[in-house]
Amino acid sequence: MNRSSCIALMAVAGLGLGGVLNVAGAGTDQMVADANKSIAVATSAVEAARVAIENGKQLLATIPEDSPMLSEVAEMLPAVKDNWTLAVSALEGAKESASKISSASTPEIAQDYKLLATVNAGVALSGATVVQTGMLFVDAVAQNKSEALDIIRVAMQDSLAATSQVQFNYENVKTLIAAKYSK
Amino acid sequence: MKKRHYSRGLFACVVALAASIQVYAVDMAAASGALADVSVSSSQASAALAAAASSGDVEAIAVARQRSADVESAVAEARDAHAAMEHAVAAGNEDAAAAAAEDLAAAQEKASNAVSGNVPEPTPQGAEQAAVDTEPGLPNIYDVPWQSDGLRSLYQGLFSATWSASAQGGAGFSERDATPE
Repeated sequence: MNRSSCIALMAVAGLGLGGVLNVAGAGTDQMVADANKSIAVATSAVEAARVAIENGKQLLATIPEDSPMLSEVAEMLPAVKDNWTLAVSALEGAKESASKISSASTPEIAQDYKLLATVNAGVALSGATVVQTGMLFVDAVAQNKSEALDIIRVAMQDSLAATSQVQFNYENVKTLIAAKYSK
Repeated sequence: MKKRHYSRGLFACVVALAASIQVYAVDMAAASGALADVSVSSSQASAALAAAASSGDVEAIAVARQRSADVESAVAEARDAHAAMEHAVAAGNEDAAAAAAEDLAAAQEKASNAVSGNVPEPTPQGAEQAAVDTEPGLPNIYDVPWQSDGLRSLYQGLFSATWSASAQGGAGFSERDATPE
């Protein structure tokens, strides 16, 4: 390869790289928008869960101490509490990941931050739905909605199982991304 | 000179291989993210069912139940697609991995639509039924003439007449009227 063809090749490569970087810039804005959309949905769900907890506290006081359902409520509340903590921390994690998308050094890293933000927002959203479903159970017990109880109980179990799956997959995403950069 | 070309070629191959490994890694991370998203839909569907049950609205419960069942079906499809994708990536089968990724994306969309209650576009079979149901005055282009009710009743009439005229049909030739009058 002579000098002139080498220079021509470098020029073409430089133009190509410039084009890729321009596309990456436009793509980053879209990534930020997508991540923020997921975070907005999760934030709304967490706020709804917060309101449900406030209502649930008052409803809990109305359940008679000799109610046969009280023990079941007491068993369920720790799961609700755990999911509330999870939802709040996952939402913070999602916001943190989203804030790093724009400043990422490469489009690939930006894409990984977007994925982390989106999946973390999903963890927050599913955690918040568990809290809301749990509070619906408390409401059904307090107001003696016996027909609704069976459906809500099953829905709560399904919701807990789904949330575990969301967490499991989030851990998978983290592991795969970490493995990529530790090579 | 030739040796230098070979080494450059080797370098290019190594770079391409590294890039393809990274693409697989990204795809699997994105696939796990998609699977997480489908599970989020499942959680939302359960919450919607619980809310419907709490309201006591029987119709709302039925709708929420159906949506929840649809989401669970999508979850099963997504899990299968994810497992297929894992196998394909492990085996280095790029085409199978791409096909599984498409299946996973389809399941993700199905779950999302089921939760929000979006009715998908009618399939050709659905369109056939829709043409029958909603456009009674117009000819149904999906209708197969030899399977139509009119022809079926004509054939039935012809068969009845033939049967009546036969020896087994009860009414023999002698018992028939000579003329229609």
